[in-house]
Amino acid sequence: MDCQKQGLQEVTVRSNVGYALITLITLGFVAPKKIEGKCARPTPTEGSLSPPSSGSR
Amino acid sequence: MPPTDTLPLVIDNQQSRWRNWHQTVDTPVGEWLTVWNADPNRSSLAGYQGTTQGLKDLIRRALTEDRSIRAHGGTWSFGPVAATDGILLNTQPLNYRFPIAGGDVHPTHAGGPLVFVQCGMSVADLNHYLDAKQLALPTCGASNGQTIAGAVSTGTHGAAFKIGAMQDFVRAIHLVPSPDESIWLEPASRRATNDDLAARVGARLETSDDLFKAALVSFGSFGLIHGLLLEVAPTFFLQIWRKEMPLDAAMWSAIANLDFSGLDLPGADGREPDHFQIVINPYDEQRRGVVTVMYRSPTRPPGSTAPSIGGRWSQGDSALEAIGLVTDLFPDLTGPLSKALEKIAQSKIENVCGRPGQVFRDTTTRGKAAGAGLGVRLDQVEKAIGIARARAVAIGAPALLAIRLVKQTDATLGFTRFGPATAVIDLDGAQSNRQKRFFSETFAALENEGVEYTFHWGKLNEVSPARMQRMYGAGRVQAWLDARRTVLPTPALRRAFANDFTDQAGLSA
Repeated sequence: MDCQKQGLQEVTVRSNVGYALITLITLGFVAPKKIEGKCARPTPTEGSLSPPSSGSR
Repeated sequence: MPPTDTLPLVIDNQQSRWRNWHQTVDTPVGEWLTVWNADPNRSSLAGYQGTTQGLKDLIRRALTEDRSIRAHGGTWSFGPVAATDGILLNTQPLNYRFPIAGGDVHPTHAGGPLVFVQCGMSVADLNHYLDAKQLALPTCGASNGQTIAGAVSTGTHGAAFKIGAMQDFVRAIHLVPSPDESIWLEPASRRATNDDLAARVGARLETSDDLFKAALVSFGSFGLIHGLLLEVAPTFFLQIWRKEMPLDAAMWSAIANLDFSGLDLPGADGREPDHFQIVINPYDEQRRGVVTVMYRSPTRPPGSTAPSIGGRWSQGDSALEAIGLVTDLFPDLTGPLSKALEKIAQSKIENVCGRPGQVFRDTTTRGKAAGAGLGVRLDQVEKAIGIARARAVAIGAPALLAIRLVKQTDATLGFTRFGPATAVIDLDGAQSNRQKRFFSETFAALENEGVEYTFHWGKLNEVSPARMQRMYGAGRVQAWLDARRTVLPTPALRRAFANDFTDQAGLSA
C-alpha cells in the first residue's frame, strides 16, 4: 500500500468461517486473516490562487 | 500543459471489488485508482492545475478504452451512487485548500468569506481548517466522514431549516467533464468571483443558472468535480438541548407551519431554534419523540458547557451512528433493542454549546447499518411518520425514525426541494432483510396514501424513471438532462459518466 508517506489511518483485520475452519483443521498452526489498511489523508498547507508574481505560497 | 512534476500520482489499488463505508455495497470494479496531488503537503495553484490535467488524462483513457469513469469520496453513501465497473477514482487525498483573496471576489458578491477546496477534502477536515481561521460551514451533516464533493453531490444536509443543505452554500463548481477542457461553473445571477480567476485555475468560465443548479446535485454524472467554491460564515456557536416531548397535535402543527412558538421547547427563552430534529422509536406506544434543538449564537452564551470529546458519539450524531455501533455485534436487532438504543443514544442534553466543528465531529463508527431518507412536505410529515411507524412495527424492523427540517434548495434534483422547508424523514437501522422490506413497503405505502416524497441520493432507495417523474416532475428531470447534455455534448461522454444507478433512475441519456 502506497500512502505517499502519510502513514496509515486505519487497519482492519478480518476473519471468516472458512479461515476459522483452516485454523481448526491445522490445530492452530495456520491462522489466515485478511488485513486491510487505509491511508491517512494529508493535511496540506494553505495555498493561494493569486498569480505567482503576486506572491503565491 | 502543466509541468510534468505537477502531474498527480495515480496508484492502482489492485482490487477487483469495491466496498463502501457502511458495507452496504460490495461490487466489482474494473480499475480502482487513488489519485494523489504531486505534492500532497502543500496546496499550490501549479499543483492544482497539474491534477486537473491528470484527471483529463484519465478521462481520455476511459474514452479510449470505452469504459465508464466515476469518482468516489468518503464512500459514505449507502447506495451504489458512486460505483462503476469501469474506472473508479478515490479522490480522498485531493484536499488542497485556498482562501479567495479580496481582489478575486466579484463586486456583486455580498455574502460571507469564500474558500476554494479540492474535491477530496473531508467535511471533518474542512471544519477543522475553517475553525482555525475563525470561520465555519453554514451547515453540515450530523457526521462528517464524507468528502465535500460527495456530500454536496448527494445533497447531504443537517437540520438547519434556515440555511439549507450543503449544496446551498456552494458558489462555483470546477468541473472536469472531458479530456480537453475544464469548466468553472457559476450562476449568472449570483456571481462570486471575477472573470479572470477561472482562467488562472485553467478553466473555461461558464455562467449559467440552469447549468449550475443542475450540476450541484448530480452525483458524479456531470464529470469529475475537481474543486468547489464555498461561501462560509464567521464562526458561531450552537447551543444544544435535547429532551423527550409528546408527539401531539401541537408538535405536528408546529412542524407543518414551521412555527415553534406554541411549543415548550427546551432552552427557547423566547428564541426560535435554528436546528430542529426529532428521533422516534416506532415501538414506543406513548407516542413521544426525542427532540434536539440548537440555537445559533455569535458568542458562547454564559452558563453553557462545552461538548464532550473522546466519546464514540457526540451530540451531533444522528440515530444511525448509534445503531451502527451496536450492530457491529448484533446485525439483526429487533424492536426491544430500538428502545434501548433510544435511551443510550438520545440521552438528555442541557445547554451544551460548541462551535460547529466541535458539535458535528468526524465519527469513526462502522457497522452494517442501513438507512433510507425521504424528503417530505411539512404538512405531510405526520401522515408519513404514521405510515412508516406502522410498517416498521408490522415487519419488526430494527429501525429508528428521525425528522430533520432543512430549508428548500435551488438544486434542480435536490431532494430537499419542498418549500419553505423540507422535512427529511430518516429510516435508520441495522442491515437485515426485514429492514429492506421495511424500506420497500414504506416507499410503496407512501405512494398509495398520496404522500409526495423524494429519495435521499446518498441513502438506500429504489429509484426508477417513473418515480423520478413523480418526485420531481417531468420539467425538472428534463431540465437536468438538458443541462447534462450541454456539459457532456457527446454520447460517449454521457456514457462515460453514467453508471447502473443513473441507468436505473433514467438519468443516463
